[in-house]
Amino acid sequence: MYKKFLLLSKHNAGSAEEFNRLVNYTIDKIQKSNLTADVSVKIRVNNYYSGNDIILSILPENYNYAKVDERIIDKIIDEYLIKGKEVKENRFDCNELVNRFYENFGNYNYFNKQLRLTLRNCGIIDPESLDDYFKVDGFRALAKVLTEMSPQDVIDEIKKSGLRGRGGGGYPTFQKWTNGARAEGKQKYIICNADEGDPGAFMDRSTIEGDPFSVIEGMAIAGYAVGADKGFVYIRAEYPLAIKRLENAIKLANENNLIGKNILGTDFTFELELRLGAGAFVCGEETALIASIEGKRGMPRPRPPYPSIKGLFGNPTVINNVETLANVPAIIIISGEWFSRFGIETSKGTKVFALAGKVNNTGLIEIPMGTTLREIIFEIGGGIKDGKKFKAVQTGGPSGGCIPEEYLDTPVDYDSLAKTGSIMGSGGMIVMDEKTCMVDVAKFFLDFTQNESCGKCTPCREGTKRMLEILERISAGKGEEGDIDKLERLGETIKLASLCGLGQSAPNPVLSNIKYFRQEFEEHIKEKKCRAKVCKKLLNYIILTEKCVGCGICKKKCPSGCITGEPKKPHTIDPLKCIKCGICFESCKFNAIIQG
Amino acid sequence: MSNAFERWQKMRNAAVDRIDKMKYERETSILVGSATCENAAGSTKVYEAFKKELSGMPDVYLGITGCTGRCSMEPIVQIYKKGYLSIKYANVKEQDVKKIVDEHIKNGRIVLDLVLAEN
Repeated sequence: MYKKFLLLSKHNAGSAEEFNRLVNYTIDKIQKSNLTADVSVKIRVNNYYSGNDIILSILPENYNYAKVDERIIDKIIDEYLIKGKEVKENRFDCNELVNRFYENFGNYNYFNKQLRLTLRNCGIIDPESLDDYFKVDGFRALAKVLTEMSPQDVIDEIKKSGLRGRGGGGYPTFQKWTNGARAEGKQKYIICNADEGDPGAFMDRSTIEGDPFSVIEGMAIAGYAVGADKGFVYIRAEYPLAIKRLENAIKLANENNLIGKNILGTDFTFELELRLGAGAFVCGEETALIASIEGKRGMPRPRPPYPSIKGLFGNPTVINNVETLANVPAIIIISGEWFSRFGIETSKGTKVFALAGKVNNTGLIEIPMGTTLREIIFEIGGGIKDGKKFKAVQTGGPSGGCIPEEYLDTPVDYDSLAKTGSIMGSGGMIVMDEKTCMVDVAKFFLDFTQNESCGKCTPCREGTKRMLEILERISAGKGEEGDIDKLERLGETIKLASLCGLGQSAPNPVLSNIKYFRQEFEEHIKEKKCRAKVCKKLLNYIILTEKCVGCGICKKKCPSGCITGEPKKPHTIDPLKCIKCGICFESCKFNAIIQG
Repeated sequence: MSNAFERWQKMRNAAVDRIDKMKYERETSILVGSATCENAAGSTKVYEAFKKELSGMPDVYLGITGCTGRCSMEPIVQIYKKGYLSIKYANVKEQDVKKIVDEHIKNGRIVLDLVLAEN
């Protein structure tokens, strides 16, 4: 068991060669000093510092050194690690807010490529204790805002940070707030959109369950900046634990005058309520969400007017995603400039992803924008399960698309992902291996959106249904020449003509799969073949006469009675009667039945 | 009349005082993951097992925390001992709890086969 960790990191601009040399030097030096059993040397993502030099951190003390070179390494190892004398030279105070994460986690291979800003408190504090949130400087941002910042100052700070909406759209947060602040109206609202509906996505749920106070604090700050005195959290009823923790957090914050009337003795008032959604996917769309809170059926309406001008009950309303709001307190406490150091030019900060599918390490990860898909899947994710071959990665859930291997070096940011035909989305990331059929994936997501279409506008209601029918036909072996063109034409029309984001993005999974895996679609249609052997109706089962011993098990198990043969003699399958259930294939002990 | 920041500062000091005494100044802290994913993996039972196993041990804090992100390895249990790096145990089952308490909490011996560690 290591007693100490030395973590080395460099800023992006630094030279990789020099950095690697120093890492090797440090490992060497630790070996020469006979410290290998106690001290581990690790590399980590640079998470707080903007210089071009190399940083060294010592854990668990959390001592940080800048401008590290051989001399400093020598000094730290000789004087501190061996003699226990503190080294003050080049040491600097860094903000604990972000670094706590590394102090706490032992699984460095998985965590070192990550950077937790949004999830800074998740897995660290007790989410049900206000005292614990205070311990990590909870509500400091709100107190700071109320004491020394004007609403415009707050918006300016958010502008400097470059924060963009984390729900997937990527609209600049400061712009939304400015629009809300400038809009005319006595009553204004802040809404936190926690209606997380993408299949397989659970970023918002984990954020709220792990750190509900940050979301509340972010909302109150947004309220101050926009001039809103009332806020709603729209959260789906399927998240009982998240709801319980939010309710508890709101209650505690209210009792302590951190939200409610005259917060911290000022004249700022911000009241907060929960609204539970019934789990309709379309209610994540902002205008449908507003309708749902108003007590109406959750259906979108045309924009403009945008909600920031005319939203809830006709009043100016700013709607932000959970993740966006959770970032706000950190930006206010430290600075917008600090936040803007993470990520890349057009996308600042970090993004949380729910990494799922055929990777070794599934889970919730947070990475600086600009990390490549390859780094996420093969370094953090630990590669593909069972040594299989990577095929595609799906981002953005039912609104996104699949990205094939050629684009694995795409950096994760709003614009680069959009260029591939997918989207950043709210944070679902599903990794697929060679055993995945791309027609089947397209069908799965389209089936989802088709079911969730609210039915208000025709392109979405009818169009997605027709597209799904074509896909079902293709995967059933009844695809026709021209189906691909039909899907593309229909898809483009739905994208153009639908009223809201649901319809406008619903064809994406199909279109991007056709774009990158056209050949697979053609195989399904022309050769009636599914190379991943997923589309059951396209499979043929054949008994190999040379291997069949005539045991009769398949014949006994076949539900359609299509297998014939004398005992102890090779059997045969009647392809016309076969329903392609695959039971014979699974039950044969002699591997005499093949799928083709 | 104190301003908002001063009011906050006062509240924070009191809160930190309380939580330090309860949690951070203890010799040992045990944090059991608690979130929808953790609970589905059985963390509530693990928490209850710790509670039972720890009864009568005064200088140990037992609490909960959110999801650490390693969803496939849950339930995750973190152990803090003063002066040492924290240890995370993965895939902890009810029946592992006694071993963790006997070995790690009481005797300072880490239960190696449960540690969430690097390969």
